Amino acid sequence: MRHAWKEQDINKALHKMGQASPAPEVFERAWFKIEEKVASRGNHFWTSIVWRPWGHPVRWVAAMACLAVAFTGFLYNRSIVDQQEMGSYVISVSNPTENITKDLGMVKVSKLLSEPSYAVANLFEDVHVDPAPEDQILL
Amino acid sequence: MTELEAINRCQRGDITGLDVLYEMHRTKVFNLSWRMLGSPHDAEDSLQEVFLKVFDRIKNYRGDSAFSTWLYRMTTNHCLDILRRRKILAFLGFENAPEIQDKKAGAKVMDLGLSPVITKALEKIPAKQKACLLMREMDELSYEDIASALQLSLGSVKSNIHRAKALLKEELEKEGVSPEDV
Repeated sequence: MRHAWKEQDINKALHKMGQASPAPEVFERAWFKIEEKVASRGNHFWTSIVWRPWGHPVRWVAAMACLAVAFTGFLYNRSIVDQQEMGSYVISVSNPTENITKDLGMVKVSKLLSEPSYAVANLFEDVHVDPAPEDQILL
Repeated sequence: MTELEAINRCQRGDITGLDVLYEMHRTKVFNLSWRMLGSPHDAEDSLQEVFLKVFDRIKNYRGDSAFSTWLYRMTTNHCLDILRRRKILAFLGFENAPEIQDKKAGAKVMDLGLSPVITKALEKIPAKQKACLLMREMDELSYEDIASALQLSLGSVKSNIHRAKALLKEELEKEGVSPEDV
């Protein structure tokens, strides 16, 4: 059966519900936990500092500016390093006399000339004498 | 100690101030959380969280509105956050733990004078409308206080209450409950 609810009935029922109150130990338990949490936080310097750049649009702009400066600095530093590397490479390629030692008593010899190459070693390995066949009797 | 003294102490980081404020407002915060979240367990957690937030943020309280209004705003926002999170978890397919706890605590809720039929019907009302209705009919706040606490216009508060009552009436009639049963 469908019962009709008037506005007064709803107000009365809600008001009656509003009178309900939990047992006092619920509040005591909750307060104990609050005290415990507050005490466990302590007064440490690092925990007291909170930086929230997302709190305000101006802070967003400041945070973005910091990131942009850091990124530009990184790119600038990388291009300087690249330029230095390229400069030293160009010098070494275009001016080979720079690599010659100024000391008159010593001559800088390339590694390629001073050490035997693998290609030369292979050349000698290819020349080999066939051993005599086993069935051939040598007198 | 008066409320103002307690607030000043709290602003200086003295927990005795929070203790006084807790004694003054704990029942209202608990009751509002309970009706918003539908479970005494969640209400107990909400009570803790809200008073910890009060202790953290009371430095921002400048006395523009009554402390109780400020506290109500904080409680309502906290409850709305929890309900939003629950909705997301339900959407993602996670088990809704608070509902299970609620069923376990069903007998306890009845003992405390909460009608399970109305509690169930209240769950079907949108969160903001429910907050307006509960503040008005259970906690007997004025329309202005509700508007200030929920940061809504006066007209919006009135229409939310009207819609919530209409929905509640529909739900209760659908369930076949008579007003005498409650």
